Formats: sequence, structure tokens, C-alpha cells
Amino acid sequence: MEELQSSIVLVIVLGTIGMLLLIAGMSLFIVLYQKRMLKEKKKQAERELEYQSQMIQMQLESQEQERKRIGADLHDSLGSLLWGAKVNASFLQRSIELKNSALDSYTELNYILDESINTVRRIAWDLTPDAFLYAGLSESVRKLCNQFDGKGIKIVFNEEGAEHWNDDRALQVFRIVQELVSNSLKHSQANLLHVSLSWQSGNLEVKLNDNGVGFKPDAGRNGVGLWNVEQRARQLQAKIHIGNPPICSGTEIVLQIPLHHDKE
Amino acid sequence: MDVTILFAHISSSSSIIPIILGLVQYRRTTPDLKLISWLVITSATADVISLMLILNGFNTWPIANIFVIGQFVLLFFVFDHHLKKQYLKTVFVILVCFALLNYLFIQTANSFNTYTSYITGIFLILLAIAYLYRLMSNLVVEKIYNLPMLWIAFGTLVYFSGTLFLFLFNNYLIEHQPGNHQYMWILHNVLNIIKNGFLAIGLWKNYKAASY
Amino acid sequence: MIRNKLKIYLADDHTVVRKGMIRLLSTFDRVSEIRDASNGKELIAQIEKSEPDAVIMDVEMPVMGGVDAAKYIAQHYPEVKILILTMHTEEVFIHKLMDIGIHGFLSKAAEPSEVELALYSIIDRDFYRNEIVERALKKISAQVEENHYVRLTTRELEILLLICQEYTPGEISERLQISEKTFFNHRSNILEKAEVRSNVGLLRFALQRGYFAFAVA
Repeated sequence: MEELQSSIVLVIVLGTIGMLLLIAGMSLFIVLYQKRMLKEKKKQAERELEYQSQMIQMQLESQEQERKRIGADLHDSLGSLLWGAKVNASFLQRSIELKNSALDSYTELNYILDESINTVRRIAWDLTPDAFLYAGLSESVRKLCNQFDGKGIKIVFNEEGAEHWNDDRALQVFRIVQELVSNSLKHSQANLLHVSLSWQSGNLEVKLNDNGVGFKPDAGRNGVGLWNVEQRARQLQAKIHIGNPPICSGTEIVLQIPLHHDKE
Repeated sequence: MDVTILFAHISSSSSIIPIILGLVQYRRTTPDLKLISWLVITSATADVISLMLILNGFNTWPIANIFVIGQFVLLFFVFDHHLKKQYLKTVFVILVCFALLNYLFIQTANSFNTYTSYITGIFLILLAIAYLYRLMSNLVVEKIYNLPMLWIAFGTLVYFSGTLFLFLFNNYLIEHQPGNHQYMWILHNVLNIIKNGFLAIGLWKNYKAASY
Repeated sequence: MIRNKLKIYLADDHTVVRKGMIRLLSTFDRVSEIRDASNGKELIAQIEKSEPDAVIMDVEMPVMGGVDAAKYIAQHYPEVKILILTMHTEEVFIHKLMDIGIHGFLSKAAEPSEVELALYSIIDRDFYRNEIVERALKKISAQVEENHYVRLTTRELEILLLICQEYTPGEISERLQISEKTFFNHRSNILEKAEVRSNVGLLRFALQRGYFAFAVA
């Protein structure tokens, strides 16, 4: 009977240990599973983010393509047709002696046609600076500033250091500057805009300063444009800081763009 | 009242909760959980019949042995529903044939069919482990503890490894110290209660998930 | 040797523009015959039948664009003067065309009356120097290449400078008191030494080497 008792104790002790081990195993299973799940979810989130960024990249690329197409169409077709109109006007002037109001009309017609051609060229250039490849970022930004300078706003461009940068990333930077400048013109009510590029080692700092009403991020006034800027900045792995300058009124936007274009 | 009988009572009553849970959601539940409902009902019926036989002094083995086989069949289909492997079905058919042969001719209905018990127990443990392994590699749900089948697999694992251990030990004891070892049945009933508990959790998880 | 009764061919893919240009050209005193084509291929086919004095063409044309056509014409019909009339005014593009050997470049943003000036200039002086071309040339003058040394005689240098100053062959011969034939001999020697094809090329060459500089505006 004694032996039987100790056997029962043995069974119970062993059984309990076994059960505890089993329960520990099951708990471990749950913990491990959740850990793996968490890792998997993280991975998936990363994949999703990457996918999203790819989509945005594609979107921006197709936007660029579309701009190129429209720009080329405008420039080549509409430009040529306007030239045709000018040629005909010139013919009329040569064949008929124009007098008084007819001459005025001819002069005005010529002026309108000239303005139209200039506008077409300007829009085409805005849409796709064909010359960007050759001119590079600095030249293009300078041209952009000159284009709007004196039209209700004074734009001052300056550059520290100099580098010729003309690849796809540079075009993205140019697009950002273009968007920001046009934002400032449209919304800031400023009469002075400073644009500066400063080339540092491996880094480009783009700074825009205006003396306008300041930036209200929640106003939603420039939603799409700013979204575009932010997406492009993200693609460039650039740091963007939008804020009101400490002393005067207005808006200050600072972009830090890594240059690593010739490395990697 | 005898302690053995007391535990037998508790054991058979422990099926009540899973039975209720199983029946409440029977119509809108998946085939695997329908089988679990049948398992708890079968288990309860077998317990009640056994209890009545014991109280009236009859041998319970014929009904207990059949229950072992029935339980094996039901649980196999539960796991088969998820694992879906042809070779498992083949093994299953062979095992069932053996169990029936054993019941009729080898160890016969009137004594405990230990072979059947061991073999089906080991097979079910392997199935549960295979199922858990699959869960781990496929990462099917976000919160694994909300998956009903996890608790079914846990219950299977605990119950069958427990009984396997018990029966092996029982055999050893009987060899060395012949006699009626009632406590074995107490322990077995404890395991049965635990198993029913796990099945109840599984059914409850399913009920909760379905009612959202 | 002022040539009158000029035969001018015109290539542009816009029919309306072509029609207008034909009308305009017909008002020019020295122009006597005008033919037109809608692309480079048609233009070359016309030239093969009968050589003109000059061609005026656009760059953007279907089938065969202006650049390819200019290349072909400069190579096979060196006597035919080429005036490019286009919306494209990028400096790099102008340089490319000058390398090919065109004689004049006019923007479609210009005044139509300038076509007459440009046309006579490429006929008489072998090239037309306008603001666009000058601007493009100025860029090049900044970068001096010293990779191969070209030695010109004093007479050749004289002639080169006069060409750059837009004197006609007749004027130059008169000034230097040489026959026009001698002038052309000298000129072809210079062309060979400078490895260029036209007077525009000579101007670029002179700017690059520092023989010549534009008057500071």
C-alpha cells in the first residue's frame, strides 16, 4: 500500500510537471506567433510604403511626360501656326497700302501675334524646360526668377558656390522651386521674394523668403501644389521646412537636398 | 459518495457548457466546429451511459472502447478539414480498420483497448502539432488566441498526451501491483474536464467572433 | 556677283504656314521661283530634280525632319544655302545645326520681314548673323580648345576677319584687290584648315581661337 501511495504521488508530480511544460509550450507558441505576426506586419507596412512611393514616383513621372507632350505640342504646332498668321499679316501689309485705322489694326494684330508667340513659348518652357538638360538647375532657376521679376514682385536670386546639376533629380528640385515661386506669387501678396541656392558639400540648400502674409498650413489654399512639393521632396529624400521667419513677416521655406547624384 | 463517482459526475457535467455553446451556434458555424459540437455531445452521452453502467454494476469497456474510436474519427475530420492531405486519410483508414479489428478480435470489447488508445492518441497529437506548425508558418490571423481552432488543437494536445502518459503508467502499475487503480480514472476525468474546457474556449471564441 | 532671280524651296509641315510663306516670298524682289514640300524627304526629291539657290525649312516635320534633311543637303548639295526657320531656339540645338553646316537660323518668333534679310544674307555672304546665332556663338567663344594648332597665312587671316564682319565675296575681293576666284581659293583653304563647312563654321572658328570678337554691346 505504501508503494502504491508513492506511485500515485509520482504520477501526480510527473503529470503536473508534464502539464505545466505543455502549458508553457502553448503559451510560448502564442507569444512566438504574435511576435512573428508583428514582424510580418511591419514588413508588410514597409512593402506598402515602398509600393506607395513607387506609385507616387510613377505619378510624378507620368506628370512630367504629360507636361513634355503638351509643351511640345504647344510649342511646335501652335507656335508654327501663329508664325503662319504673322506671315500672312506681313503679306497683307506688303500688298496693300494700309492707312489710318487699318494700319493701326495691322500694328495691333502684329503685337497680339507677337505676344501670343511669347506666351506659347513661356508656357512651353514652364511645362518642360527643354533647355534644362543643357542649362542645368542654377541657370533654369535664374531664368525662372528673371521671368517673373518685376511683374508685381521683385525677385532676387543669388547663388553660393556653383555646380552643374541637370539629371532627373535636379529637374525635381526645379519643379519644387517652380511650384513654390508660383505659390508665393499667387498667394503671399508679397512684393519681394528672395530665392537662393547654396551648394554645400554633398548638399544643396534651397531657400525661399517672401515678405507676404505668411504661411497658413491649414488654409488649404495650395493643397495640391504643396502636396506635390512634399511628395517630390520625399522622393529626393530632402528635408523641407516651411515656416514663418523669426524677425519679419512672410514665409520662409528651406529645403535641404542631398546631392548624391554622382556617388552610388 | 465515492470520489471516483464524484469526478465522473463532474466530468460528464463539464460537457454541458461546450454543448450549449455548440448547439447555440450550430447552424452558422464551420464544419470543423460542427464536428467539435458532435464530439462533446458524444463524449457526454458516453459518460452518462458509462456512469449508469457503473452504478448498475456492468462492465463499461464495450462503450468506452467504442467512444475512443468515435472520438478519434471526429477529431481526425476536424484536423483533416484544415490539413487536407491524402496520405493522412490513408493512415486514418488503416488505423480505423485496426481499431475495429482490435475491438472485435484482438483485445476484444470487454477489456480496455490499450493499443487503439495509444495509436490513435499519438496520431492525434501529431495532427495537432502539424496543425500548429502550419499556423505558425502561414500566420493566418492577426490575434492567434482568438482563433477557435487553436484552442481545439491545444485541448487535443493536452488531453491525448495526458491520457497517453496515464495509460502507460497504469500498465506499468498493473504489471507490478495488480489491483483496481481507481485514481487513474479520477485523473483521466480531470483531463477530460480540461479538454472540455479548451473546447469550450474554442467554441466561445467562435461564438464571439461570429456575433460581431 | 549679286544674284537675282532666286530659286527658293520651302519645307514646313503646316499647309497654312506654307501657303502664307509662299505668298510672302513672292513679294520679295529678288525671288523668282518658289517650290514647297511638306517634309524633308519631299524637299530632297525636289532638289534632286533641280537645285535651288536656297532652302528655308522647319525642324519639326514628319517622315524626315529638318536636321536630317539639312545634313543630307549640306553633304550632297554644298551650293544650296540652308535657312532654318523654327520655334526651337535652344543654344545647344543651334550649335548642332551649325556643326551640320547650315547658313542661317531664324526663330519663328521673329518678324516675317526678317526672312528677306536672312535670305539675301545667306545668298550673298554665305551666312546670316542675327542675335540668336550670336548668343549661341558667344557661349562657345568662352571655351578655347587648344587641342590642335591651325596655322593661317596673313592673307587667310585677313580674309577670315572680313568674312566674320559680314562682307560679301565681291566686297572682300575689291578691298584686298584680288579676283573673286582667288578669294574663293583662299576661303576653301581656310575651310579645310579650320575643318568647317561654311562661313558660320568660320565665325565659330574665329571666335574660338580668339581671332575675332563681337563688339561689346
